Amino acid sequence: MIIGGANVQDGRTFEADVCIVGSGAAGLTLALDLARRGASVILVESGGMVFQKQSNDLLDIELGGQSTPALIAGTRERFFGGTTNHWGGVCRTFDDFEFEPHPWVPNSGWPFGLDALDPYYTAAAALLGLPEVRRTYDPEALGVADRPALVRPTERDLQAAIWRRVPLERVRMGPWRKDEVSSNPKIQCVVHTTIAQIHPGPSGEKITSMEGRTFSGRTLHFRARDYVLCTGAVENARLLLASDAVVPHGLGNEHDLVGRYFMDHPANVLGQLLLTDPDAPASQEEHLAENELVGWTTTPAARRAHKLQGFMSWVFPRRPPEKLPYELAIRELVQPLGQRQKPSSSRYLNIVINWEQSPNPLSRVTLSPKLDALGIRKPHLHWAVTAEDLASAKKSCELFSVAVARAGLGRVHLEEVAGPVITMGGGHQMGTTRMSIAPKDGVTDVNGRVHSLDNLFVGGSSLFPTGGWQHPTFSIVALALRQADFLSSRHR
Amino acid sequence: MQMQSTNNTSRGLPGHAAHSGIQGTRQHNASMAGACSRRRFLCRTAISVTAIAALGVTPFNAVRAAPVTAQPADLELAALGRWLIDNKPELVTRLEAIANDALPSTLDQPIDLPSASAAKARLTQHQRVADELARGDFVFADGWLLSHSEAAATLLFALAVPAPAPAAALPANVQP
Repeated sequence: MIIGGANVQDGRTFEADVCIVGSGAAGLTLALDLARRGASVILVESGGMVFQKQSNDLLDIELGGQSTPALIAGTRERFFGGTTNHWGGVCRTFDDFEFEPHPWVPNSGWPFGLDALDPYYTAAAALLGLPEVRRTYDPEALGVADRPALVRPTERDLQAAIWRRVPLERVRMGPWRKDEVSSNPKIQCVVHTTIAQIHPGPSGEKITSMEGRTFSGRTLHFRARDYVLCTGAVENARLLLASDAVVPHGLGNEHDLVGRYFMDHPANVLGQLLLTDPDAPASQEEHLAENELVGWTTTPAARRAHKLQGFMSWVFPRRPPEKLPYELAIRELVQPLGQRQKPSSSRYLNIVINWEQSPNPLSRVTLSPKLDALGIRKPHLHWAVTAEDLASAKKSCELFSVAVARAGLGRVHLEEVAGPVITMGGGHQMGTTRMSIAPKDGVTDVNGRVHSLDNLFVGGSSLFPTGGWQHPTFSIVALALRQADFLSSRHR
Repeated sequence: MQMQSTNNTSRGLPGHAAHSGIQGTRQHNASMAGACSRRRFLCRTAISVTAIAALGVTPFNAVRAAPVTAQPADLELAALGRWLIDNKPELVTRLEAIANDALPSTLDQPIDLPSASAAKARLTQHQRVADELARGDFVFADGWLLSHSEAAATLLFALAVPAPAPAAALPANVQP
């Protein structure tokens, strides 16, 4: 059942086994899986069933540090389906390597390994309609073995990667799962209702209710045995910090960690790959890029050897410049003598990168004194990328350039000679309620439960202690299925 | 529009680098291995200056006497060489030695475009470049990765093609 909060009687209280806030990839997956397992669920969504500016304006955020409007603008959606409403549907599991702590990256590593999440990746793949959990770059299987590769498979520092896309009808989770939600007797989905406060009991160890507000001036109450915040990395932290009526400095914030370790995957144009024989048949990667997302990542060996963060690069269909600096010179150097190419025969590939940001406690979400339209304090984001992050990205770009040169089909022109500059985020906000074994190291435990509260959980990418280089949504769905497994065991 | 260059250079390494890059490293590396070949390399530039002075020939006259057309690609190669001299001075001595080895040993004359082009052909052989890339012998020049031999080739063009006058006709997207 889907209920418009604006039309509900003021002061009404909803009750269920589990109350979930947010109907994005995490919240919808969790709600439907819990209901499937027999738990009754309240699913609270701030927006409506479609985009409305009034609701989306509640996402307004103050920016500080290295934050720019381009980092955050348009990266989040506040209506049914959440940010899957603009998701690209790109899926890839985290590898073993991403779960491990890396000695050269402070605060890195997950509190569990891939084996703990792997069964849920399998379930997530089935749910999302993916033909397999992992897709490897196999030229034979991809039908491109007869073509040359821009990066050789024997390259030690770089490896080709290919991503899997979710079938179009399942990318927008709102439209896809709306009927499942509305027809499920175990689910009460309350839309147009924004959770403004989480109320703990007098001892501060257990949540007793949540308070929701509507633009029509109504206040609604939600009571459940367990509560789960699935509103994204910024909003999860905001809600915990804003709920400070009983517990000073916000819920779960005993160690001043709520909102810290904010991470994204900064994105840049790496540059252009100039194909030195414009008349040659398309390489493997070019050929595949017509229909697939194909690219390259640094190998674990390279990351260990050079102390690097994660990095992914891919062919991006953007109109390149008409001529690259020194392009004629490069053609002279890489072509045999006497075979000068005319500029009109140039062929380039635009290469775009996303790179991993280290978990940095100074990169954080706090509260602004300013209030939004519903009287809730706005979030302030101080996004901080370290010098080591930038150096890692620069080195990764150089390794990419070397690998391409070694293969002999082209040369890369790095757009930023001094290294990547932060131009935009990847829209992959992570890490503000990170999981940890010990409360002093994170906000939530291995099941996403807030360490200091018995019945308050967090879902989504704010749980990620380390961001990896992979697109996060597939892991968000897998984590939600894992969390459903755990929560349902509390309600049998 | 095509530009013309002299068939020899009267100014040594062009622009700022002629005074700071090469000369600076020359003093610094006088006792280093490879200095002899580098001296010979520099000698050729000096010979050209002397010859022009002795004959009373101005660079302009030289152009008229034996014009060699510099293609746009030559100009870009020269510009890239100058970029390296200005921005990677610590590498110049090494690159000079590589460039010097690629020049014919019997050639005791100024570096001109034909000799630079011939040396480039030797310096940019695929296997040679591949070996250098495998060894890590490369440099980033204004965003482009060049093996040391490729970089050395650009240095030869910087010698063979005079630096353009300020605001001269390099393509708009090439930094002088």
